[in-house]
Amino acid sequence: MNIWTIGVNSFKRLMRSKILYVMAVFCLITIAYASLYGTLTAGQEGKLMKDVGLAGIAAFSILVAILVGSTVVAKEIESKTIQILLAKPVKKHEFLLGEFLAAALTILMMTAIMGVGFLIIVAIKGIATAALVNGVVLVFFEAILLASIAIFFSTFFSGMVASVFTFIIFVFGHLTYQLPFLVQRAGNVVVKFFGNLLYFALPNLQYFNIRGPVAHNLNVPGSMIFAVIVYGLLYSSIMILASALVFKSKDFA
Amino acid sequence: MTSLAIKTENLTKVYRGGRGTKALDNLNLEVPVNQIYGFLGPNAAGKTTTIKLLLNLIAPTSGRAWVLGKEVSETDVRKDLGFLPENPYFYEDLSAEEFLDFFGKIFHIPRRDRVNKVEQLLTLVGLTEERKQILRRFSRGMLQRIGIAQALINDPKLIFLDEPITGLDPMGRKEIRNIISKVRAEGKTIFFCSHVLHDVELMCDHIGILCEGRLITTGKLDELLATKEVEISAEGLRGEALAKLEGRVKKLRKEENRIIFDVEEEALADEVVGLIKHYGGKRLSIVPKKESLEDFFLKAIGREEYKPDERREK
Ligand SMILES: Nc1ncnc2c1ncn2[C@@H]1O[C@H](COP(=O)(O)OP(=O)(O)O)[C@@H](O)[C@H]1O
Ligand SMILES: [Mg+2]
Repeated sequence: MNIWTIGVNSFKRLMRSKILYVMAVFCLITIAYASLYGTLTAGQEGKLMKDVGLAGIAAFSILVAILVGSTVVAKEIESKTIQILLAKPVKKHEFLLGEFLAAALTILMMTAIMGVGFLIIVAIKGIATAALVNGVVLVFFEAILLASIAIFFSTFFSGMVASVFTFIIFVFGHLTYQLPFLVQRAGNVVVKFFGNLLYFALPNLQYFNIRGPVAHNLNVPGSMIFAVIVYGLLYSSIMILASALVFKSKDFA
Repeated sequence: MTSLAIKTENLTKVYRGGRGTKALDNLNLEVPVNQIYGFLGPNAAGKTTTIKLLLNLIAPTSGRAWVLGKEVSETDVRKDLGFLPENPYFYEDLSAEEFLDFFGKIFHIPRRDRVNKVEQLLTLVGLTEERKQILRRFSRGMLQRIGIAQALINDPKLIFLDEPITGLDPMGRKEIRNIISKVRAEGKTIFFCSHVLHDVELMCDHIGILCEGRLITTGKLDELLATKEVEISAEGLRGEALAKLEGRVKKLRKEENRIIFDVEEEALADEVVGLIKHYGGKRLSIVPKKESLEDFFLKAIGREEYKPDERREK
């Protein structure tokens, strides 16, 4: 109940901030670009168009996730509005879940607008596939995961620092799948240890990227999509739980 | 314990990461219900720290605290609390109405009651005209008023006001004082923090004086300021009579054609009055003397003059 109230309130305030309008424009440009690309490369069964379109949606959704995730909690701490809220019968984890909900709603809205716009364009060209929808859905869950990481960082860093760190995690998260091969080749025990540690700690974001198969009209089984979604939600839950632990002993002075 | 709104036991706070200054040092506070309790002290005395501890926003280094008979760490106790922070920092993208409505929802007030409550509070703080205005456009005084409205949304039994009047112009100060009086009349307990003595003197029943994290004195304002001294004014006394009387009183001064005697103790007053009569003078008035809060405060904190903004050196 409180979670929903806080989430909707923050979502409403986010919708009023100017940043998102700027982003909405970017989103439209992305879609326009994708459709133009599609026109130029007609005859290739829209392979490039699908790839570029999905990549654009991913880039934009992740940008929104990092931005919103790293500010939604940090701003309340920095502007001290959190103090008024926590002085009321609101538990710290309710606050965190509420802000996470606000971030998720914002990402959902942005990804959905782009996804639907993109699917309409693709459908008009007559090259829409169900796999494209899956591609957009996984982009959404990757963005959610990154937002939860940004929230976690913002419980002890400023919003600015949290966004930088989350971006670094994003970059490395897409490289972790290569770690096992690198670790195998490394002779040093210490390097091996830290390599494995990183592999387990960092999110494996490459799971969420099915652009290749989608563009080539290859089938990705539903069970795999489902497993990736569960993975994303699990990782996000751990991040929010960790945030709640940090909050538990944090002074809001 | 139930008749106490606030109780603390050796409440101590040392901020982590600071220079290890004790912001609050073994505070033992008892605030009775149905009072305006003025919590006084120069800047950096630890007033805001005390409020934050009582609201469980920060954790004590040691000691314990209760509000309304419950341990401050219990979330439920905050159903009956209100809080106006020191510098109003609110959701500036929301309108006054939306802002209050949001907190109404936090307290699970049903929709219909919420609408009424918001209306009632906007009227109380005189912001009915500005209900649709975004808080970003509010002046300092208006923010202070919407902040008080926000603190009252749940009909709290105990309200913490952190410097509610500081930094406002005379008009704004008067408005806030009026609002606080109305709230007081509803039988709520108000914990009023301020470094402005005048406001406290005007409004509070009980006071506590905090300095460098330590509670120096606390009690009923009247009793604290009361002295044994009596002031007697008289007229029609001549030089020789004055010389005689001067030996019996603490101080003697002339004001136009009246003479004013400060008498050390009430017991001596009768004698002085008798002497005035004896020498053919006319007694005009006898009043018990009261110390000014400023004098009392300065004595309490052991300083010559009051500079509230002077930072604590350590
Ligand atoms: N978050 C904080 N970190 C470190 N020191 C603090 C913090 N907040 C307050 N202090 C210090 O604690 C002391 C008391 O501050 P405060 O409670 O705000 O006093 P007051 O409200 O009476 O002006 C001051 O010396 C202040 O510098
Ligand atoms: Mg203060």
